[in-house]
Amino acid sequence: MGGLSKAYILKRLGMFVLTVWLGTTIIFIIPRLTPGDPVEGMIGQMAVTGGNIENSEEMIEAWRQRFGLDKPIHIQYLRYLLNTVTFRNGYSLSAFPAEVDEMIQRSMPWTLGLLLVATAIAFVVGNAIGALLAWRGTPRPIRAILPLSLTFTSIPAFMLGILLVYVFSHILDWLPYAGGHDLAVSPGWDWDFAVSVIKHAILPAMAVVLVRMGFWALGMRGMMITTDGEDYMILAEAKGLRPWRVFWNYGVRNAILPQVTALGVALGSIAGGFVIVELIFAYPGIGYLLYQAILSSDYTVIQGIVFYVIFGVSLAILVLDLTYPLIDPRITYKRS
Amino acid sequence: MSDTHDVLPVNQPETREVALEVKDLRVHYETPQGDVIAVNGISFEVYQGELIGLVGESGCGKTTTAMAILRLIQAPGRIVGGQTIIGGEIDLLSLNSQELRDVRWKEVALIPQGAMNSLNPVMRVHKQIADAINRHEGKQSKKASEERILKLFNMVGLPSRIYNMYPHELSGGMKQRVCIAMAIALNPTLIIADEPTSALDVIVQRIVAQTLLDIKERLGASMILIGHDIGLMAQLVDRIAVMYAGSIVEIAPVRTALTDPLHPYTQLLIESIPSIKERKPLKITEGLTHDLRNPPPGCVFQLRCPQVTEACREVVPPLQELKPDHQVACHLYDGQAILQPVSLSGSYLES
Amino acid sequence: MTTTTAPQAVPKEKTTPFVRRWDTPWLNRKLLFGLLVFLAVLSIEFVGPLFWDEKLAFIGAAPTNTVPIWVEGVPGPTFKAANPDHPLGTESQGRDMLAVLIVATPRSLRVGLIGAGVGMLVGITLGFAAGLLGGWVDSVISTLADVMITIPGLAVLVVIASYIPQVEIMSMALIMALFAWPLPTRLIRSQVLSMRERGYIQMAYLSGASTLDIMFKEIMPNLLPYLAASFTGAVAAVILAATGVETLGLGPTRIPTLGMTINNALSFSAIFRGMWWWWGPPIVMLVIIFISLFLMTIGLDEVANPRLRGLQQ
Repeated sequence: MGGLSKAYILKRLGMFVLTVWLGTTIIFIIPRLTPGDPVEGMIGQMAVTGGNIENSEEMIEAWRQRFGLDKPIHIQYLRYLLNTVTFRNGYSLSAFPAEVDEMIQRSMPWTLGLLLVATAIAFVVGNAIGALLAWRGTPRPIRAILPLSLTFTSIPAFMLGILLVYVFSHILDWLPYAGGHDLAVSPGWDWDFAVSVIKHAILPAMAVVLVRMGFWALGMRGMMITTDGEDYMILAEAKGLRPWRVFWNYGVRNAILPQVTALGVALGSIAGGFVIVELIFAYPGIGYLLYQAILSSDYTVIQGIVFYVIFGVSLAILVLDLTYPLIDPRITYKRS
Repeated sequence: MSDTHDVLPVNQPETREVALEVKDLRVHYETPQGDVIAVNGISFEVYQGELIGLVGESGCGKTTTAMAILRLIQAPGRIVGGQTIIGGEIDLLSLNSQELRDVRWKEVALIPQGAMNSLNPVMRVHKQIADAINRHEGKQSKKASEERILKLFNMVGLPSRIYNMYPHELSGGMKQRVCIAMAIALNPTLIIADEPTSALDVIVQRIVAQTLLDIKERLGASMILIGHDIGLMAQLVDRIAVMYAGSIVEIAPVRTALTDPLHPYTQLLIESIPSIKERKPLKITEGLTHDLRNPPPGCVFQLRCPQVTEACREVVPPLQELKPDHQVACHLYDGQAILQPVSLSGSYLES
Repeated sequence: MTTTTAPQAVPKEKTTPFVRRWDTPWLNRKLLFGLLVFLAVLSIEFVGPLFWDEKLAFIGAAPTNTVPIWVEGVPGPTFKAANPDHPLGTESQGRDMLAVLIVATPRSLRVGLIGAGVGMLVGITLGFAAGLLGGWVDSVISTLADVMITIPGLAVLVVIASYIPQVEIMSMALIMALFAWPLPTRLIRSQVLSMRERGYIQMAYLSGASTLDIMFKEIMPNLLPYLAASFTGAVAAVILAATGVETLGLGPTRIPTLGMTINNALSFSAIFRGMWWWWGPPIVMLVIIFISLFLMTIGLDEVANPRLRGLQQ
C-alpha cells in the first residue's frame, strides 16, 4: 500500500494554516474596528458594563509592552500573530494577573475529555443505528427508533441539556446539577474522584450524544441506501455471501466513508454547541470559562478562548484528514 | 481454436447433458401504469460444456433473463413464473433464501457487466475472491488460499503482483479478469457472462474474449454469454439464441445462424453487421417496438417484420425445432417442424 | 395446431388526469406538515397581539414569580400563587410569560429568516459563480467557503457580538448571515457542476443561449427543491446559532427574544429553583420551530432526490 502523497499532506496542512490564520486575523480585526486604543477601549467597555478593574495602570503598561501598541498597525499585527500562535495570549482583564493561557489550559482537559468521549459515542452508536435501520434484516420495533432519533436531531444540545437537568437532577435527583465534580471530593487519581467525575459528566454527555446520534443515524441510513444500489453489492449477493458479511464488509465499510468526512465538517458546530452545554451545567471547561468572560467583559479571555477553539477544531480536522486515507484506500493517490 | 462447432453430436439430444434448463420463465416489472413484461415465458437449454450466446437489442430482456436465473431481480421487477433447473436437479426458483445462498456461486456464477464498479473498492482483490471460497468451502488456510487464488490468476492471465492490490489500482481489463477468476473459483456448473467486454477497448476485448475461451476449454465450463455484438459472439460461442421483446425467436449453432438465419429478425440482425469486405447499404428496420405493457396478440415481432402474415397477428408462434439443434419461432415455417418425440425441452410440436 | 395467446399485461386502474395532477412530488407529507406548523408559528406575530397585551413582556410589567394557572399551590416561599391575569406565570423580572412568547417568537424567527435569506443570496451568487465560471474564481470561492465552514462559527460570533454594544435583531441577522453562506455556496456549486455536464445544458450552450439565460431558465428550475431545502436548513441553523449566542448573554436585552429569555432564566437559576415555566415555553417554541424546519428540509430533500422517496413502505 502506498503512503500518503506529498501533495495531499501539503494541501491539508495548507488548509490548516489558512484556517487558523484567517480566524486569528478576524479576531485581531474586530476590536480594532472600534475607534481608539484597543486596550483602553477594552477597559472602557468594561467600565461601562460595570466591571471592576484594579491595577488598570499596570495592566495597560504590560499590554503596551507586549503588544507594541504604540507601533504601527502592521507591526502590531505581526507581533499579535506571533504571540498567539506561540500561545502567549496575554493577561485576563478581570482576573489580572492571571494569564489567559493558563486559565484556558486549566479548563481544557474537562472540555476535551467530555467532548471527545461524547462525540465518539454519538458517532459510533448513531452510525450503527443508521446502518441497522437500512438493513432489511432489522426487526420492526427497532425501526421505530428512527422517527424518535430524528426528533432529537432537531433539538439543540443545550436545550436537551436543560430538559435533562430538570428531569434527572431537579425532579428525580439522581444525578448532580452542575460542576465537574463534587466540591467535597478533592481532585486526584483515586476512585472517589473518578466516580464523581463520571456522575457529573453523564448528563452533559447525554445531551450531546442524544442530539448528534440522530444526525449520524439519518446520514448513515441514507448512505447505506445509496450503497445498496451499487454494482458490487449485487455481485456480493450473487456470490451467496452471508447477509451479515455483505452488510458489514460491503455495505457499512463503504457507507461510513462520507460519514467520516462529514464528521470533520461537523466538528466546528459540535464544538460550538458544546460551549453552551457547558454553560448549562456549569461544567468547568472552556465553554463555562467563556460564559464567565462574557459576563465580566473580559475581552482578552474571550479572544484567547476563541483562538484556542479555532486552533483545536482545525487541528482535529487536520488529524482526521490525514488518517482518512487509512480507511479509504482510494485517497492515497493524487486525488483531491 | 478448436472446432467444437462441428463436433457437437447432431440429432442426439439424449447424449448431451444439460447444465441449465429454463422453462417458461416470466419476469414482470411493476409500473404505475401496469406491468411491463420483460421476459415473456422463454424456454431453452444450455448443454454441458457449451458456450451459448444470448443476443438482442437493448431492452429485449437478455440481462433480465440472466438476473432471473441468478435470482437477482430487484424491485420493481419480479419473477412471475417458470423454472430454472441447474444440473438437472435443482430448480433455483424454488429454493428458499438460505438454500439459494448456499447454491449461489457454487452452481451458477456471474461475470458482471461493469467490472469497474463490481469490485468492492475498499477490499483487496484477493480477499474478494477468498470471500467466495471461504463462504462455500469453509475457511481455508492462508497458504492454501493464496496458492489457489494465484493459480486462478494464472489461468486468466493476471500477474501475481496484483494479489494485494485494491480494485482502483487495476486497469479495466484486469478488473474484468479478476471477475472472471472469481467466477471460476468454485468451478460452477454454469457461468453467466453479462456483456463482459462492453466497457472495454478492442484490444482488451480480445484478451478478455480469449480468456473466456480458455476457461471454457480448460474447465469445460458451461456459459451463457450475453451481448449485442454478434460479430464478437461469432468467434466465441457454440450456439446463439436471439431474443426480441422478451421472447426467444431463434436458437441455432452460430455458424448456421450467420450463414442461414431463419427468423426475419435474425436475418435483419445479421444483415446489419458491418463487413470489412463489402460495402452494404444501411438497412433500417421499419416500425417501432410495441408497448411492452400491452403486447399485441400474436407474434412479438409483427410490427416490424417485413414478412408478416395474418396468422402472425393472431397466434403466437411457438419455438419449434426445424433442423437439428435449430429452433425458430415463426409462422413462416409452420408445418416444417421435425417430428420428434418430446425431448428435454418439451417445446416440440407435432404438426 | 394448438394456439396460444400472448399473455396480457396485468392491468392497473387507469389513472385519471385528476389523479395525476395530485401526484406531483411537491405534495410531500413531511414538507406540507412542516410548512403548516411553521406558518402557524409565524402567525403568532399577527394573531398574538390580538389576544394578549404585548407590553406585559417588559420588565416590571407584572408581579414576579407567579406560577402558571394550572399549578396547585406554590413550590416555594419566594413564589406567588397563580394569577389568572398571567396564565403561563411570570418570571423573576416581572415579565408575563405568555406575552414573552408572543413577542419573542417573531423576533427570533426574524433573525432566522433574514439571516438565512441574506446568506442564501450570497451563497447562490457565489455558488453559481464558482460553478459556471470555474478557474481561479472557483478556487478562491471554494477555499474560502471551506475555511469558513471549518472555523467554528459560534466562536467568532461570540467575539463579534461581544464588541457590539447594542445588539439588535438586524445586526444579529447580518452577523449570522456571515456564517450562513458557505454551505449553500458549496451545495449550489456542486449541483451546478454536475448539471453543467448534462446533455441539455450543453445543448443550450450550443444553441447560443447566454450564460444568464442558462442559469435562470435551465439550471434554476431544476435546483429549486435543493435551494428550498438549503434555505430551510439555513433558517434552522441561523436560529440555532442566534439562540446559542443569546443564551450566552449576547443578545438584545430590552425586548426579549427566545434565546435571551433562556439566558435570563439561567442567570436567575431558574432550573435550580424549579421555575420550569420560565425556560420551558421558549424551549418548546424553539423545538417546534426546529422540528417543523427539519421536516420541511427532509421533505424538500425527498422532492429533490426521488430515490429517497420510496422508503415509506
